[in-house]
Amino acid sequence: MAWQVQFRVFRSSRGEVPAHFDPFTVEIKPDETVLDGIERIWAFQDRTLTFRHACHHASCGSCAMRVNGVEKLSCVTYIQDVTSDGGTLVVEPLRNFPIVSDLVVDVSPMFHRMHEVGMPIIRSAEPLGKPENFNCFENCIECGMCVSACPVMLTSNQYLGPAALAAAQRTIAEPRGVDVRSIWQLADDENSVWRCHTAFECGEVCPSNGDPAGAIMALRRRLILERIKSLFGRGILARQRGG
Amino acid sequence: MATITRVTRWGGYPAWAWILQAASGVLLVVLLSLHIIAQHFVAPGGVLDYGGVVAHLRNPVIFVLETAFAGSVLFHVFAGVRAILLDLAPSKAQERSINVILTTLGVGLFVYGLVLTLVVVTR
Amino acid sequence: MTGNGQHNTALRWGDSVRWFDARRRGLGMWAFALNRITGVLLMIYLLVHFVNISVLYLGETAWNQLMDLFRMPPFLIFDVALVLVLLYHGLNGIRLVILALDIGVAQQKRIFWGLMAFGTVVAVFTAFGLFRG
Ligand code: SF4
Repeated sequence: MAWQVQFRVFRSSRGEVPAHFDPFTVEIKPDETVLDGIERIWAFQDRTLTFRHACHHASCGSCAMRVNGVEKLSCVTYIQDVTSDGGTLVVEPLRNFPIVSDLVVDVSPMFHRMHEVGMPIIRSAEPLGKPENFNCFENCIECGMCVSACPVMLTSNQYLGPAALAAAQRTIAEPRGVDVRSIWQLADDENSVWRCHTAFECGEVCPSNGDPAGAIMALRRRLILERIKSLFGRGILARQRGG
Repeated sequence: MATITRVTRWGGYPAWAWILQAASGVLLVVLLSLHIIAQHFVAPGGVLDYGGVVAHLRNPVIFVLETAFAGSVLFHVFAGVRAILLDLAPSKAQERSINVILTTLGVGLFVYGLVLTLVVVTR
Repeated sequence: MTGNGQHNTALRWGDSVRWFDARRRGLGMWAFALNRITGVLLMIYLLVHFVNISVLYLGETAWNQLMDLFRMPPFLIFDVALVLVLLYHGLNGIRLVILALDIGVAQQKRIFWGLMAFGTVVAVFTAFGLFRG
């Protein structure tokens, strides 16, 4: 039994089309996904709709968008979980990124930041010793949903952001040749660890248990202890003074 | 290997702002409990009427306690206001004015409170 | 700050205050927004409190009149509200410090509700105390 669902899709094209919402009525089964609906709109109703997707099974992170105001991987978000028959779905691009067109955002700011913190691309297929490491940041699929959900990111486009901070923590935990002192320096900045207001929105939306908030708290604990140590001329921060 | 391109502020100042905000918060939980306990249970007959308040403040232990309380509450409040204002994305110049204005207000109110208390207890 | 990690979107006023919007968001976001709202309320209370202790300067009669006013029921209700706001801000603050020391991060929601349960008990006792005498 197909449902009738009204998709209200955010439309905009840089400099050409002013931001607005277009309504599309879609016949869709409750166990199909939001991405299925978007693809159907593109196929049968509006060929100009732009959106990104690739794998269709939650491993590439490119179909991340906001569904009814909350960040979702649209390829694994079932219609029955977000609306009802005759209901509405508001579909918008991620926040806190420059919008390229319709649902497509420019995620390069996040990738630049991942680079800055040493790009710890290590998959859980290569587990590292302690079992608690098995559920950690190497599982990040770089979808950018945490960046979109983060309220601090909304207040400052200079904030390093949850994904990059979690990656920083990962690099520090296992440097693999990266200069860790510069990462500490980056983490200790006014736009890094100290800016986080502990709202836990990043972990709330992360599709792969990246737990960015947990990583930020781990960095914060270490930095607090190091700050106190530095008062007595000890620790990593003391050695760096003036540097 | 990745290179770091970002220019960071590296003087420990944001770190200390955070740490002191947390520390003053924890201190306040203790001092506020003492403040309330002292006013309602220690002072004979409570501190509501004028004579009661003055007698209460003449106790040196209470005086020190209340002064510490005022200091930490003012720091915590104005550091908190600053954190909220910084989330409105001020420019560096605006941030400096925010710092100056809030510090002046905080120190001013602290001195005012201190003078007021001294005037009341010594007359 | 320079560097290629910079977002190139211009920040608008609307963006700067939207952090406040906790609708459809998780518990942590509500806790954060409430922490700020209660913080602002407490700041206003502190400023008012400075005005009201200034009456001490005017001497005995003025102060005692003010205190008689404060003993009336509307002000007692205000006192209860103040206690609630203080308890929320204080207890959530304790949670934030605990979390910053990387303790119980995975349990943050339980820590929140645990502290709030404790706060409720304290609030009930305080309210009784205030209205009795
Ligand atoms: S940490 Fe999670 S939400 Fe953030 S980019 Fe990685 S997978 Fe996405």
